[in-house]
Formats: sequence, structure tokens, C-alpha cells
Amino acid sequence: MAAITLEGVSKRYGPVIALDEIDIAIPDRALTVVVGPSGCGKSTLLKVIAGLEEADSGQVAIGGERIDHLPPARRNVAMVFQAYALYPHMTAAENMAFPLRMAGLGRAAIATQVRAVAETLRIADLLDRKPAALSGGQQQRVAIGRALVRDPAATLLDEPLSNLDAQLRADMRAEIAGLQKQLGATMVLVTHDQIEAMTLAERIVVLNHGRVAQTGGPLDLYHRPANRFVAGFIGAPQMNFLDCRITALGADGIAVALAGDLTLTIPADPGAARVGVAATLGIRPEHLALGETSDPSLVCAVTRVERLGASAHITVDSAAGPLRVAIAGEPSLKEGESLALGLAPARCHLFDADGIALASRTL
Amino acid sequence: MVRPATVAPLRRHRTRLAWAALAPALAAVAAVAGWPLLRTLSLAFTDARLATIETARWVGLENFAWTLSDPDWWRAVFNTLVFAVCSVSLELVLGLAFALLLNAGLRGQGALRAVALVPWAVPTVVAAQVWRWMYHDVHGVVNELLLGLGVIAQPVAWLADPALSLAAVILTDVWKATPFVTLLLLAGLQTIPAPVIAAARLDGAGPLDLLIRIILPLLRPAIVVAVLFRALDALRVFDLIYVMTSNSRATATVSIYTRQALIDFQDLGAGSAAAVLTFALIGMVAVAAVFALRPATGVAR
Amino acid sequence: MRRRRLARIGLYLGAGAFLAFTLFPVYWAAVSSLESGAALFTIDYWPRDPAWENYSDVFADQPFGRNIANSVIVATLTVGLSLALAAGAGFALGRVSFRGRRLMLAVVLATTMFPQVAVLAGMFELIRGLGLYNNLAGLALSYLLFTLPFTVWVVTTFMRQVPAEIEAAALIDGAPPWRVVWSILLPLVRPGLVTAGLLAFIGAWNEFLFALTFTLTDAARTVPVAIALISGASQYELPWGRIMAASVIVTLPIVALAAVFQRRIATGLAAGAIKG
Repeated sequence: MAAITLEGVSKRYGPVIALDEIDIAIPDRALTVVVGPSGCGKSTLLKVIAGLEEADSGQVAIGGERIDHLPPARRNVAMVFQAYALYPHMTAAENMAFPLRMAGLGRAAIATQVRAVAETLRIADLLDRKPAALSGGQQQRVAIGRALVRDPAATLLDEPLSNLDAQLRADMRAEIAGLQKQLGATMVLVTHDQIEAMTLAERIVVLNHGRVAQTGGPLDLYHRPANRFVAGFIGAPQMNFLDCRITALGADGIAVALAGDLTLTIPADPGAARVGVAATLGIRPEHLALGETSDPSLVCAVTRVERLGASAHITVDSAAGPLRVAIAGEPSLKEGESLALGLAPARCHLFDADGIALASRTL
Repeated sequence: MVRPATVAPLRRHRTRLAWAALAPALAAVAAVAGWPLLRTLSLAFTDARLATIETARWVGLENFAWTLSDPDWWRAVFNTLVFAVCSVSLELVLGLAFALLLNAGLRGQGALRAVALVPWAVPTVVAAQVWRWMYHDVHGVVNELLLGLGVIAQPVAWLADPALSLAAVILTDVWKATPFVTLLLLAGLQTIPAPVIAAARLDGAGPLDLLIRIILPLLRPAIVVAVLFRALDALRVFDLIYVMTSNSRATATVSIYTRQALIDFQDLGAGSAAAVLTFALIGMVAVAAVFALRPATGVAR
Repeated sequence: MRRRRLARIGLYLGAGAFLAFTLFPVYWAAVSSLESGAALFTIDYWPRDPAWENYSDVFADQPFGRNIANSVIVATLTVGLSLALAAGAGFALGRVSFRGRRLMLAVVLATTMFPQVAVLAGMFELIRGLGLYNNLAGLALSYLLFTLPFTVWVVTTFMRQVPAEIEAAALIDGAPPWRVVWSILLPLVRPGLVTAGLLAFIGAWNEFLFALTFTLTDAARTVPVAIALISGASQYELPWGRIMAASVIVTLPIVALAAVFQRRIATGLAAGAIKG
């Protein structure tokens, strides 16, 4: 087990920049999730760590030792692929034995280790089957077994759950997290699914356009998004964004004016903000309050109500723009109805014209 | 690990690996195709004979001039083109008919498809001998059948009569090669999605509309490929004619002419000139066909 | 309803015509091979009095057994050589993207259109230069001219279909490149190798022009040449019964192969052609 560090790693495919000066430190014995929309470079990142692709520049080190010049076979990194990539002509046991055979282990040692891993993954009774005779979930376990069997320095998982159905995905998610804890393994999991990232990770690396948008724990990203991209990407339903203008800077925060004559003073460090510039106000649907409160409020008209049972999503139109509201329970609202919506300044995020967070401070 | 820690960059390493894996095949192609072709090209400009390759002298275009003024050469070109055009068009029409038949959902289709492979698998020499026997002027079953049906009044010497021998040989080629065309077109037919056919039926297309407006256009790539492959084979036909009619001028093709010059007359120079001309003829047809093929498969690539 | 039934009958009549056209010559060869003497010269659609002497005569009057063995050796050599070369080439052309890949594929495929006579003189020199004239190894070598393009093409096509992830997995699992090819890729493209090998075997078994030109003695001849050159007591009296018997003998194994592997061969032909 070892920590992985990337320094200034860049990779381009022709005109497309897949990775742009990436610096990441992936901690030892933890599960790190790399998340981002498709095309953000997250798969390339894994390939560069595994040695399947070569970075144009920068360094990759595992356990403090540079490995970017080594072929994949000598990096002691294991990988679980999205489509599992099991060897179709080999049984489950042979699949898991393959890395050990390549490492030159003896027959007996291989058999013992394969059996041990198979038991951990509860696939000991499937060892003689070929991949075609296994279900998706079983294939997934064999693929994980093949990765873990040789006790690698790090295990890379490339969208490992996206080929499974919803129920199985939830089970496997819990199982991977459990395995990681049980074995104390260093794992890097790549996904496009922010919910998967939030539920699995101890640490999340958000990638966008080949750059690290933010790194942190799940709740760090939720409460203190560093930029508009992370704010919009993490959390569902998505954060609402409203155009605004900075009107004053004071000790109690930044005052902004929204369309429809609403003024808010957001408790944030004024920092580099300047009066008169355009900004974006962000507030999560679940942080909007229905009805009159002591907070500044907007008068809205309900355009759509989606009832999910335990909660409801309401879309409204306001002078400041359309908003989504998430509330618990089953509201007795009708489309066309008008209501007041309270914006708690402490729940608001503020982003400058470049999308960088103006030191938001959520309580 | 005692090996030095640095290896060549991955991509370059892989490229080198690819060239190493490819090298033996390329060497083989160079040895059995490239070099012999170059030799043929260079010999065509000399007076080499089989026994005197080493002492051959450069004679410029003399061999080409000689070959191009030989009426036998032009007869061979004519025969080759007639053979290719007739056999390939017949094979295409019959092959299409059989392919549609095999695709019509008859019982025992698998067996029919297996049967279709039989003439294709039969060695050409065997096909030639069998048909030669069937065409026999006195004891042949073809004459017997046609006499019985009243098509002919007296036995015909199919292979000896210069007016008939080429047609007889063409028919043999049609027998041997139609299954190949059938299988290619059948594979093409099976790539046409059933809903497309169903939609055309619902739109009111009759069987003929269906064939002309839907099936044939969609089958175009397969047809072009089948024609290309068959034309290449037909233009260089040798075995069939060598065995069935040996040295008859009425059926000699460019391949027969060339081998005769090279081996029987031991005239490497003139033979090589004929070989170069043969190659040029076939090359032109192939290039034309490849260009015809391009737009059809451009998307699939 | 009536029209549909008529159409159905038409289809079956067509199928019957197809069967008759395709199978009659083969049937006729078999019938003739069982007749000798005067029986051969009267038309019987069923051998009334099957005589097997043609079959024994084929082996008695010439080294036909030797010819068959030669054909088996040449075809096997050709298959082995072609597949070995095509495995490497298929890996390179199907799994690695490098500058010149398309050109190299085109070069290999271009030999498809080489007329055998166009290389006859040079090939003759090559074979004589290597000391392989009148030698089975020389024949197998020359057969690469027509087996390599399609074996390389079929293997390349199959190689391309192996998901990139599988190869990546093997590399990460610590397999050196040759091991990836040997333990992972080749087993996965086995159907392609079998198909290409079958086509190469049939092609080599049936080849005539090179076999005729590059062998001299009865003992080095392959069966197509032997069958083409069977002669009788006089030039005008060919031993048709024996020729038909020999034809049946060399055709049976190849037709059996084709029948057993018909699906493979059909898809192989189609894959080679349609995707090309």
C-alpha cells in the first residue's frame, strides 16, 4: 500500500487536452474517488497512473518512488475495468490466478491466494466457471478479485459500477467500501456519478476539462464548493444560480442585488470582490424555504410540482429567474399558485464572473 | 528487478513491437510477391531464356512490341475479357437468385447452404475434369440429356468446336463460382435489418419494388465486392482452361498465353512482357473496382 | 392464400433447380467412378453394377498415395506458415496504431490481386535459388502469395474485435507483451485462426499452376497436378473411370471439411469480403 502523487501531469490527444497540469496527492490506505463529467480526463488519469498511457509531462510516484517511466507490469498497480475485462477463455480461478502466474508464483501459492480472495469476495463456488456463465455482479467480483489477489500498491477502479443495475450498484458500492476498509487498501475509483462519489469517498477529486476543480471530503465539496462548476456538479437536484450585482462590501459580508429588487447581504469575506461587478448567487434547492420567514424573500409562481413521496421538487418562476425548490413531504401546492420563497443569506454561495467562489461561509 | 529502471517511452516501445511482429509477414510478402514481380518486370526488358538467365541482354521494349503485335496475344486478351464478362455476369445473376432463395426462409436452409459450398470446395482441376467428361462428344452426359430433350439433333463436340468451347468453359466456371457469389450476397442480405423490409412492405412495396428499390441498393457493397473478387479471379483464370481445352487458341487466356511463353517456349523475356501486360490489365480492373467500392463502404469503415 | 401457396411451390422448385445444378456434376463423377469398361460408355444414372477397380487402379498405375501425402504436407505447411506470419501481422495491424499501419495493411492486401503468372518467372528463380525446386517446401512458400492476404486480413479483423480493456488488463496483470499475445490474444482470436487456416488449407490443397510449374517428378507432385496429368494407353483414350475415382478421392476430404465447418467458412468468406 502506498500513496500516489501526481505532479504537473499533462496529456493531450492531438488538439484535445485531456489532462492539464494536474497535481494530486492520493492518500495511502484510503478510498479516493475521482469524479467529473464525461470527457473531463478522469479515465486518462487512471491510465496514466496504470501506465497504459504516457503523460506528455509531469511526474507520477507511488510510495515516493517515481514510476512514470515504468511499463504497467512493473508498477504494482491493479485495475478494475468498467466492462470488467475478464479473460473470456479462462475460468474465474484462472482469471484471478493470471497476475500471480505472471509474477512467477508457484502453483500451490497461487491456489491458496486465489481461494482466500475468492472467499473474501464470496465467489468460492464460482471458481470453475467462465465469465460467460457468470452474472454481471459475479463478473464484477471476479474482476475485483483479480485486482486484489496480488496485494497491489494501489487498486484503480474505472467506473466499476456503471454496468450494474441500480439495486446491485448500491450493494456493490457498500461492498467496495467495506472491502477497502477491511483490507486497508489504497483505492482510486473513477466515476461520473456524483452520488456514487459522495457515498463512497473519503476524499473526492473533482475533475473538469482536464484540471482539478476541487479536492476534499464529500461535505467540504457540498458546503464549500470552490467554484461554480463544483457547486453545480455536486448535489442533486442541482444548485440554483441567479445573476446578481455586488452593491456594497462591509464587515458583515457582501451585499448583492438580484433582479426584482431583492437585496441580500451574504456573510462572506469581501476579499478581492469589487463593488459594481456582476456575480452569480447560488443556493441549493433544499436550502430554499417556502413561506414568509425572517429572511429576504422572493414572490414566485409555481410552474411545476414533482412529488417523489418522501420529498417534492417544485419549480417556480421569480423576478430573479426560475428556481428549483426541494422540500420534505407532500406539499399541497398547485401549479400557478403564488408563494413567497425565503433565501437565507447564510445558505447562499457567491461566485465571481469567472465562477470562482467568493469565500462562501455556510453555517 | 535488476534491469535498468528506464525503458523506452511506452508508445514508441509498442510501435517497435508492432513492427517486429509485422516484419516476418512483410518479409514473406516481399519474397513471394515483391521480388518476383520486380524480377518479372526487369526480365521483360531482356532476351532471357530459361536456360540463360545470367547472360541475358537488355533489349528495351522489344518484347512488348513483339507481344503486342502477336495476334495470339490479342486473341488471348479477347478470350479473357469474354470469359470474365460472361462468367461474372452470369454468376452475379444466378448468385443473386440463389441468395434470395436461400434467404426466403425455406425448410432445410442450413443444408442448402452446405450444398452451396460443395462446388466452391471442389478443386478446380477436379471440376475441369468432371465437366470435361460430362462434355465428352461421344459418351458425355450433356449430349445424352440434350439429345433426349430434343434440344440438339446430333452429338456436339463441346470442347473441340472453337465456336462452343469458350461457352462450355464459361458454364463450368459458373458452376464452380456461383456458390461463392451466393454466399457473399447471402451474407449481405442478412445484414439488411428485417424492420426495413417490413416498413417497405407496409409502405405498399410489391416484391419487385422491394427488390429494386430496397434490397439491391442496400446490397450494393456486397455486390461490388463479389464482382471485384470474381472479376480478379476470372481475369487470371488458368486451371480450368489448361485442363479442359489445353492449348486450343479458341480458349487461351492471357494466363495460358503467358505460361506457355515462359515455360513451354522457355522465352523468359517475351513471357515476362506478357506477364507485365497481364498484371497491368488486372491492376486496372482492380483499381477501377476499388474506386467503385469506396463510397459504398466509406461509412462502414 | 392461393398466391402464397404458388409462391411457396415456386420457391421449392427453385431450390430443387439449385440442388440439381450444384450437385449433379459431383453425383455424376461418383457414378462414373464406379463404372468401368463398356459400362462407362453407356449412360446410366445409377451404377447398376458398381465396380471398385477404378479406385484400386488409381493407386496401382501411379504414385497416387504419394501425391495425396504430398498435398497433405504442402497444405499443412502452408497453413502453419500462414498462421504464424498472420498471427504477428494481425497483432500489429489489428491492435497497435502506428504510422504506416494502413499502408502496410494495403500492401499485404494488394497481393490479393497478383496474378500467379505475373510472378511465375521470379518465383521460379527464387525457388531454384533457394534449392527448393521440385520440393514441397518450395510449393508451400510460393502459396504464401495467395494465403497471406486473407489470413492476415481475417486475423486482423478478429484481433480488432478484442476489447482494448482486455489487453490493458493483461498488461497491468504483469504479462510481458509476447505473453499478452500468446496467452490472451491468440486464444481469443482462435475462431479467426481456424477460419483462416481452413481457407488456406483448401486453397493450398486445390492449387494447380505453381504445383504444375515448380515440380517435375511424379514423386513430388500434388493431387491436382496428378489428376490433370492422368493419361491412358493412348492420347485419345483417357481413363475416365480412373480420373473420376481420383477426383472423388481428393474431393471427399475437402468437401467434408467444408461441410463440417460450413458456418465458419461462409462467415469467413463474408467477413473477408464484406468488410474489405
